[in-house]
Amino acid sequence: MKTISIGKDYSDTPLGRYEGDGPFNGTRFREEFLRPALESGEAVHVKIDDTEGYGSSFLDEAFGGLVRFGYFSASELQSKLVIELEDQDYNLYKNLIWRYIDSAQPAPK
Amino acid sequence: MQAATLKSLEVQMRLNASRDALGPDLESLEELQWSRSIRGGRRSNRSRRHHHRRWLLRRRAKIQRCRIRKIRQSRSIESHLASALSMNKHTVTSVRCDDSRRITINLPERLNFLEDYEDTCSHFAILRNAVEKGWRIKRLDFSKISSISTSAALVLASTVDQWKERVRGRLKADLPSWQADITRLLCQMGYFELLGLRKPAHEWPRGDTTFLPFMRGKVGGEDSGAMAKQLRVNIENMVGGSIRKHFLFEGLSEAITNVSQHAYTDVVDDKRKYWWLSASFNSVTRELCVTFYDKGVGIPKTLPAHKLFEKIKLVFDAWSDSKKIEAAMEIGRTSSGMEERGKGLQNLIEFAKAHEIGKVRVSSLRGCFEEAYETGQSGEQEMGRSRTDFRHSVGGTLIEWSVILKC
Repeated sequence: MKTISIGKDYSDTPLGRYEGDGPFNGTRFREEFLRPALESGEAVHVKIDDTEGYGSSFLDEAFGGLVRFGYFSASELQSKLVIELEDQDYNLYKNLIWRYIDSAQPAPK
Repeated sequence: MQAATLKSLEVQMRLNASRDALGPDLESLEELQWSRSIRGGRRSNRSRRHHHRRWLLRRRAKIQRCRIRKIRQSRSIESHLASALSMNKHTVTSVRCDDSRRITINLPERLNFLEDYEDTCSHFAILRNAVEKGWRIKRLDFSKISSISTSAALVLASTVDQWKERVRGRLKADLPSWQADITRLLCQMGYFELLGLRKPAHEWPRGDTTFLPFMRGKVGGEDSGAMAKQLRVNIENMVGGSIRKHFLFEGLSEAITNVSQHAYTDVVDDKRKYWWLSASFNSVTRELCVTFYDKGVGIPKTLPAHKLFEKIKLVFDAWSDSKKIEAAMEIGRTSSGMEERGKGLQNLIEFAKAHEIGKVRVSSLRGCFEEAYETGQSGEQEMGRSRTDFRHSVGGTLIEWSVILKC
């Protein structure tokens, strides 16, 4: 099992979708942290409640992008990815992450 | 005899004609010639007086010519100024230009985007145009201001900030003439540093409203998120308690992302790609205002038409800016054309929605869209929406969150 704490391992102020939006954007988190961890085959636990918060751009690009770019299917992610939180205020972001994963459509190749 | 009389008459007439042409000085000239001829070129008192008179006449004519030239010049400067700075009925008496073409802008009594939107925007437009066209601003007159809102203070600060960045001059501001309360608020917001004024040593008397120093962020800057966090920390210090930080960060991070993706797409110069952020708190009403501003192309210009009737409206320019802002707040609407994008502007609402009384107001170009939430006695949250269109543009996009904090 691998654990990624977004606040501690990446940034407590994750922001934006693409490289141009800032250094702690969703694309970079997906490509440098999330995707390598998931590709190792182990279950990945992502701790989300140690940050200032999230905009939907970051969450959609980081998590929904895994499906959109064809790296994983939504069902694969349901078995491999665990979203962890202690602060219940962040539950809405957990719901959003799954909503973005479920609604993402793989881009045609 | 008759011929001699006729000749003398002709001579007299020619002399009169010459006198008329040269004016009254010809007589003196004749006198001078006469006196020189009599006295062998030595100047008499009479000749000196004559020279002095000539000199005075020449000087008077020169002064007159200068006056006429200056009037013509000032008329052309004024008309040039009026067209270059887009002056209108609100600002016709607010701008003065000196001989060296440096302008003085008198700011109006009340600066806010609610009751005095047109007046406020007209004055800011002058300042913005002066910055865009590189006019030298000699002085900003703050002395008439009796009230200023957080958002108006931020937009003004952003324009002065850009003027300093691009024109690189020093603005004069007559500090002693400022009203005490306004001086305190502007000092809190950081105007003293901006205008290069020395802060008074004495402590300000506490007022009901406190401003936070404004922040300037660069599009795609490394510290954008850190600045949003710093604002939250500053707000908590100001209000003396914690706020729902993740909702505030959610709104701010999407506003910042929206600016980097859409606002400055046509701007090449990095010095123009900035956003500004500030907040204020009223300790009596416990109203917290957070304001975010960018000088980009505006939401209405980046919104694509999705449906046929919207495309027709765009062609006939029948789709107002406020309606475009409202449409942009819909989920899934984005200028990129990608379905996954366009979720961001919905995040702006969350901070207002998370409080019993809260509203978010988005002003972009000439339109304004407001969404307000209020929790009734039954515990159900009621939502109200309103749209307004104005004659003048806010010069970018202004997002204002206003919430009432619990004691």
